[in-house]
Amino acid sequence: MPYGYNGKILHVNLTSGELTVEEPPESFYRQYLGGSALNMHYLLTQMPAHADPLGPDNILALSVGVTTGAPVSGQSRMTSTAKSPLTGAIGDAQCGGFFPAEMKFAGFDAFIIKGRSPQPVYLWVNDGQYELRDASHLWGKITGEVEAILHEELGDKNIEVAQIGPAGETMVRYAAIINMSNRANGRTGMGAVMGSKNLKAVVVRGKKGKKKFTVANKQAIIDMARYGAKIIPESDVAGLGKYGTAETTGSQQVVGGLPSYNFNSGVFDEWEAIDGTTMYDTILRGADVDKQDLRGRDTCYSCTVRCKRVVEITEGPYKVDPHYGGPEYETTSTFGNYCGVGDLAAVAYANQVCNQYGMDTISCGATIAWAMECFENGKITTDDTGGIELKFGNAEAMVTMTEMIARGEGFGQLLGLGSAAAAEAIGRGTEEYLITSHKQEAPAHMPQLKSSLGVIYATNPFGADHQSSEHDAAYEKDFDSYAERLKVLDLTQPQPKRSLTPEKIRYAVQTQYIYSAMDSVNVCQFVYGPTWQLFHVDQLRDLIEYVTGWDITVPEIMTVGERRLNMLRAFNAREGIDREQDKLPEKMFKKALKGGRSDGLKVDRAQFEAALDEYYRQNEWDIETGIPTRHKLEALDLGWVAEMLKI
Amino acid sequence: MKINVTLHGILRDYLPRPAKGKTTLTLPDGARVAEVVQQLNITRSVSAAVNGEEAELDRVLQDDDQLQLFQLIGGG
Ligand code: SF4
Repeated sequence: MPYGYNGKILHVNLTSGELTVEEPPESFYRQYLGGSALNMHYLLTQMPAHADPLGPDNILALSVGVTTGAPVSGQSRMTSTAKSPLTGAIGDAQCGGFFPAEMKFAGFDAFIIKGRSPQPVYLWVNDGQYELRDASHLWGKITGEVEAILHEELGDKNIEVAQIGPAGETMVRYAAIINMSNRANGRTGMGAVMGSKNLKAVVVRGKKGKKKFTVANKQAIIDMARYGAKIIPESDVAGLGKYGTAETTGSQQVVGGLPSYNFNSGVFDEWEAIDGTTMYDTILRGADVDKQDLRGRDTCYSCTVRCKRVVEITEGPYKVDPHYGGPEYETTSTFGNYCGVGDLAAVAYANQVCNQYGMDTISCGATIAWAMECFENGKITTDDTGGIELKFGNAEAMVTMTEMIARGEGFGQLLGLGSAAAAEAIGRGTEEYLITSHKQEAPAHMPQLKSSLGVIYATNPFGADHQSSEHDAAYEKDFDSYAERLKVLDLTQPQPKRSLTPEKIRYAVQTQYIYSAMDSVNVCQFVYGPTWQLFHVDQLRDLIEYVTGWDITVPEIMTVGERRLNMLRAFNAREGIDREQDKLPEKMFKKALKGGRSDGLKVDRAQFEAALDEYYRQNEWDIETGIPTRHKLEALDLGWVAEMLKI
Repeated sequence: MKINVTLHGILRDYLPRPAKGKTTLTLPDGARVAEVVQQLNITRSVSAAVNGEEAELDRVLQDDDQLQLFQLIGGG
């Protein structure tokens, strides 16, 4: 057996019910490392162009990476990839939790899922065995209920379940795939794709008590894990572990980078009510007896950072069951500051609804915030909303709307299409308030301040994304803290604040290759990365070597990242998507931010367009179209993709 | 002069737990943000706000200022 990976990929045809196993050679794994790059191989080779994202021709690929399941922090990640029903372009989303490691232990590296089952089914993969089972009795149920039924039905509490909730069944365009009832492949509507296929869940279990996973250098991995655990307290991720990702709320507020009121402002007066420190003091499980470090934090397989939140609220209008976890910074932002809601219980409750029904908290909260701005400007009225006063700051309306989207009720049904499609359906100038790129709602980081991130938002093949490159500050004023690590990537010339110089673009491009590779190896971007993360890029290289035995280099890893990015881009090109669609929301150019440190800031259009040219140039893509060139594709061993695109 | 300091997130751990990140320091006139960071033995890279506005570490403090300190995070 190879080190690190199983060498087995399960192909599932839901139309015919046929299940087959493919055993690719080692060179295949080294070419892609797993995850997103591996998924793209199948989407490009097996999916016809212009497939309906919610039709049987779409392929849903779920895969782990070569290091998934190793006993070290930050390796248990799974990527889902398919054509997105939200964006009409490529969709791609990662999750953590225990599912990814268990999937590896169950004997497979990927599930490639095609077709459409005539009735609801789930895929049960148990220690190398696999079957499709009836899921009629699970259809319509929320995630926690489904998990409980499956524990009972399969007689094993240690199974791991990646499932859709009712929102995936009704194909809310930003439906998520949820595991543990609180971890999500959140973005780009992968849950809707799963729902369109009548696939309720994928359930995995490795051999009981004995993990089927061999690594090349076990001792080195144990040493690395020990070292990681030892340095956490002094590292930059200590706060992330203790106070969660929402720890960052205050530092965003101070610089005017906390997107508020649907991105009209970079400050939110009530930020302290919803930040990570307040969450720690108030609603984390165990906070009442000062035991939240023990009882209010959760983790992913083998990770000692323990950044996941466990919230419990037993009183008041918004009760939260700890089974459904707790909100991340992105979620406190979209349901909180985007909507002007400074009510942490309401935010945690909306997060729970998303985890029960299976929805992306970013697109859900951001779509509601967009609708709120439309309402404030009279473009949407109570006639549309069914009487709900959808105003900024109205926590109750935010929660009600989240539930209506989840259940496909009334106005919620329209908002379940995503804000871009809803704006198209409503008209009346509502598109003016959109904050989407490639029809995907922007996450909680602001291109008005983080200028190179704006370029990534606009160009990223699966829409606005904050986890596809390193953010600007580390190559601006904060450079000194990260100089040593960035040197490994030959990034040694920090740039002025908000600049979009060729050197700044080089920083975005080079770190994008790293992030892109990390979504292929499938590692957590809090644990591995180019600047503030626990382990730096050299240590990611070490890990891959310790697990696989390959004598791999950082440039080789970055090439995998570049390869994956080009495959995503090529997929979109095949769908007729090119530079024309690489845009930031008009609002960011036209409307200056109000209040705080970022008062008056906009994105400069001329500077931004020039930066796009530079971005394509550095990627060696066609500047006019933004499509990868044959020369570049061939250099990445993707000549076959060039053939496919006839370029 | 007296400076009201609030430490956020992991920086709270530089004060005893019951303080929840809040303390009042008495400093000589002309003291700067960096001196507060030093006095509290904070060894992490920080960003600061004085009276709610972003401030550099060499910012001179005034009596009764509200100083907030945050851990510096490059990404997020
Ligand atoms: S840092 Fe957090 S999200 Fe990442 S693997 Fe660890 S617990 Fe999971």
